[in-house]
Formats: sequence, structure tokens, C-alpha cells
Amino acid sequence: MYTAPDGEQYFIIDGHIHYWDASKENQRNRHGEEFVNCFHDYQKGLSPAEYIWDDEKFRKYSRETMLDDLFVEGYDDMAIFQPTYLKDFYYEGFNTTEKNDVIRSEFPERFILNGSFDPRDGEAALDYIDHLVEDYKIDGMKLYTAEWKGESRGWSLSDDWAYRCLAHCSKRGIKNVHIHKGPTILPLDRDAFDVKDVDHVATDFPELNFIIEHVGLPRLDDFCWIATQEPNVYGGLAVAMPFVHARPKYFGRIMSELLFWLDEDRILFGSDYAIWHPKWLVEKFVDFQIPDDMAEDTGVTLTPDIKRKILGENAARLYGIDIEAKKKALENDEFARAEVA
Amino acid sequence: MNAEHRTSREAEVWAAIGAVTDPELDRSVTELGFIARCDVDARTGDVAVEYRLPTYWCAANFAFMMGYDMAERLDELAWVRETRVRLLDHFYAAEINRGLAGKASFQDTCGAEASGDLVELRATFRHKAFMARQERLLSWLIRTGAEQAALVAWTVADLAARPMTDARGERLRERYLAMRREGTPGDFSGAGYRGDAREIAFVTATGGAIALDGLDAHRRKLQAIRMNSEFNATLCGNVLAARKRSNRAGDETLAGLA
Repeated sequence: MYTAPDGEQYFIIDGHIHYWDASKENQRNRHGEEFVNCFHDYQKGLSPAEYIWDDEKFRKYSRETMLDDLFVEGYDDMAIFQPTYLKDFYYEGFNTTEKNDVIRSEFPERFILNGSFDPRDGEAALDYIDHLVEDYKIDGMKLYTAEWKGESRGWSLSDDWAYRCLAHCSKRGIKNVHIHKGPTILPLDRDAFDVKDVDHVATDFPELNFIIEHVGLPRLDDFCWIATQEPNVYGGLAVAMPFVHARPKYFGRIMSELLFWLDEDRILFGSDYAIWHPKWLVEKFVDFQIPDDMAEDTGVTLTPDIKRKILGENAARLYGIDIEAKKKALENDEFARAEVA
Repeated sequence: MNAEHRTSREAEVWAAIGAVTDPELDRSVTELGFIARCDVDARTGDVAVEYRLPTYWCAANFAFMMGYDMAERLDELAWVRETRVRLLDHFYAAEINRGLAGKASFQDTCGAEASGDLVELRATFRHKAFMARQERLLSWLIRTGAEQAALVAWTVADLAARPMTDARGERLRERYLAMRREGTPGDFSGAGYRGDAREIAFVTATGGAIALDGLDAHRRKLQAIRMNSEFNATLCGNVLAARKRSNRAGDETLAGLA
């Protein structure tokens, strides 16, 4: 819970966090080192100086560090584990459902656990979805289309097996599918960040919600266009959030566009922890106002009510969380007590 | 390399590769700091250029395009005999460098991983770059008092003759006109613009004039295009700055910048 200097209160569901292991021991090859280096460069490039970690901590941080950063020092009330397997780069994977589940099982009130599948596994992908639903009780899915697998350097949502997997998710009661568009999609002669395949699956699976991470950036215009056509398309603010510090005016334009084209019920906060720390992101976002000249142009402003939706209420609705009941359940847990202490 | 220590041939080489832009950011590869090494042997006419992009994961097709374009520009210099352009620290570097060394097309370089050449992709990003330049210039003109009703009717000659009040305006106009004179949206082959300064200055995606009552909607569309490249520009710029800082760890003066 975050209480702003003006007394306004915000219940925070962090829509995008990782618990990764990119240690040297876990790196399978150079790609593993380069992958985590790239994340680290993002942290260095867009965070306030006091939130920049050294290399070793960034490659592998402890469970205690994460819990403290999210729930004690940071204002998160709940957080959604979004896995990124990358088994071609890391022996045990970068950030897997299985590993996240250990922590979720310990603090079930605090975490939402998402799974993942790889349509290139064919039949085995369907079995894996069953396994995740039955044995891990996952709450949703997170897909990463730029993942390498042997000779393949990515897949598309419109692939035949992707369709079969999504249909299977739907059959097994999964409602929410987060999609992370990465830059290495094939074929290489196409625009690597293209988001248009989202349009097809959103039309063909109206019963699923598709949350597009980093709001389709750098294809914000295409994303907004698709979202105006498809009511089941949402935008996750991971990666867009830190611009509130690095380029506040630009961040204002992103928010103006999103609120103008979509609506305030379809935008979700996410820190992308451990790249960025939810403490400063929440403080700066709550403090942020769309500049007057921009607001005049679009008629869009960021009121406390809209911020409450983005920071928690929208995710609560998607994942069936009763915020008032949840506040009661959390008010005396060890993190709430540590916050007071 | 310090500009005043360059020989004239080195200067020619820097100007040639400086004409190549990052397709997404629409800025020169030299301005962006992508050139890691540039060796010129004025006696033999051999030129070796190495470039590095902000991350190991930057789009492979754009990485190839920049290398290919640099080699092409260098080959246009009459005295250049041998050019070697190499990409460093990139997930697709081995394939791209093989392609650049053999002067192969993108399709031949990528084999089964690409399903065609880059003509369409290039046209898409030239279009985006054109529109982003137009948007910046339009915003500047409107902010500095140009009448919207007059502006939509301006010809290329009118725009060229417009007195600009500062250097930024001059630069925005120069960059826009450079592209406007090369072609018209929908046809960047150059055939769409006949070199006639009586053609309309500001055009829509299909090359037509902008209606006065459609100007706001037109600019809104353009702003969205510009926002994409600004996102990448910020991310790339900040990542490059961060990398330079950590390469010089301990130098507090530099750490204080950015």
C-alpha cells in the first residue's frame, strides 16, 4: 500500500516481476551473459543512481532481497511472477515457473503465479500446460515469442501450434495471457517488433485477455490501433514505467496516447523487477501529472482514481482479487509488520 | 578520432559513413556513436570500419542494413580500393559479417531465416522517418507562428524561402527537405517527386495535400510514429551512455554526466 504525501492511498499489484538466476554457473553460453547484461544496461540507463546494482548482485539476487524490495521497502501489495525460461541460454532456465512456485507456495497471499509454454514443443506443450494447471495451479500465462530453441530464433502467435496451445489454455480455464514481444522474431526481413499477430489471436480467442507487455513499444501506434479494435487487449506498462524518471515529458505522451485510444480500465502497472525497483516507480508515478499543454490537446488527465486503477484495480479485476478482503489478509503478515518496524 | 587531426581522406570516409542512418532512429551512425574503429590507408585505398550497436540483441535486419549501407557509401569513393565493414558483439554478427565480406544480399546472408529481401522493410522505415521529420518541422513552424491555413498550401519553394527564426528550425527544414526532394510517400524510389519546387511541401501518407480540417488528425498520427523512434532513441542513448560510464569506472567526472 502506498500513501501519497497528499493522503491518497493506492493498493499496488505489480504486474511484472522476475526472480532470475543469471549467475556464471547457470550460464550455458555467451548469450546468457549478454542477455543479463542487456537487462543490466537498461537498469543503469533508466534508474536513479541509488537504485543501480553491481554486476554480481544483478546476475543473481537473493530471495530475501526480492521480498524486501517488493513488499517492505517497495509498496507492492501483490506481485505477478512472469517467467522467462531461456533454457538455450541458462542450464536451469533464467526465471521459471517451477522456481517461482517455491516462493509463491510460501507466500500465497502475496504472489500470482504465471506459467509459460513453447508451441514448438508440439504435443508436449499441451501436456506441459496440463502439468502447470494441475500441479502448479497457475493463474495465467506469460509468452515470450523471441525465445531461442535449437535452430529456431522465435515463433509467432499465429503459428498453428500456438493456436492449439491457446485453445488448450482456454479449455483448462486460463483467462489471462501476457505477451512479451521480443526483437528476434522470424523471418528476419520483417519488422522485428511487429505486434500485428496479436490482432489475430485477440479476434480468434475472445474469451482470453491478452496483456501486451511494454504496451507494444516501440510499436505503440500499432498497439493502440489493435487495442481500439479488440476489447480483450490490455497494455502492461513494464519498461514504459521508468521513463517517468528518465524522460517525464515523453512518459506523459505515452500515457496520453494510451488513455486517449484505450481506456483507463485496460492499463496495468508493472515494475519489471529486478530491472527496476517498484519503490521509486510508484512514488514517481503517483506524483506524476500530464503536462497542461498535453492535457489540453487530448483532454486526458491522470487523476488519483485513474492511477488507482492502473496500479492495482485493473489487475485485481483480471485475476479475480477482492482488494478489500486482500487488504485484511495482508495487514498482519510478516511484510506488513516489517514495514511498520 | 579528433576531427582536426583527420586527413582529407579520413574526412571523406567519415562523411560517407556519416550519411548512413539507423533506420529506426533516423540518425547518423556516426552521431549515434556506433563506429568503434575506422582505419584509412590513404596510400593503398583500404578502409576498415567496425561498428557496435547499443545492445547484443538489436534487430538483426537493421544491423545488416547499416553495415551494408556503409560498405556501399564507401565503395562510391573513387580512390577506395578495398572496404571491410564488420559488426562487433552481436548475436547475429557471424552471419552478418560473412554476408558483408562476400557483399551478399540479406536473403543470401540469412538463408532460411529470412523469406525475402529488405526492400519493403526499408520503404516502411523511410516512410516513418519522413513522417517523423515532417512532424518535427510542422510542430516547430506552428509553435513559431506559422498560419495553419497557409502552411498546408505551401509549395516546396515556399517552405525553402520561409525565414526561420533559429538554427533548430533551419536544421529541421533542411532534414525534411532532403527527404522531400528525394521522393514522395508511397514512392520512395524518387520518381514521385519530379524536382519541381511547385509541388506541395507537406504531404500525407499517399502523397496528397493535407486538408486544413484534417491537419490535427494528420499530426496525431505522425506523433505516434515519432513516439516509437523516441522510445528506441532514449533506450539506445541511455544504454550507450551507461556502457561508456562503466567502461570508465572510477572516473567520477564522467559518472556525474548523463
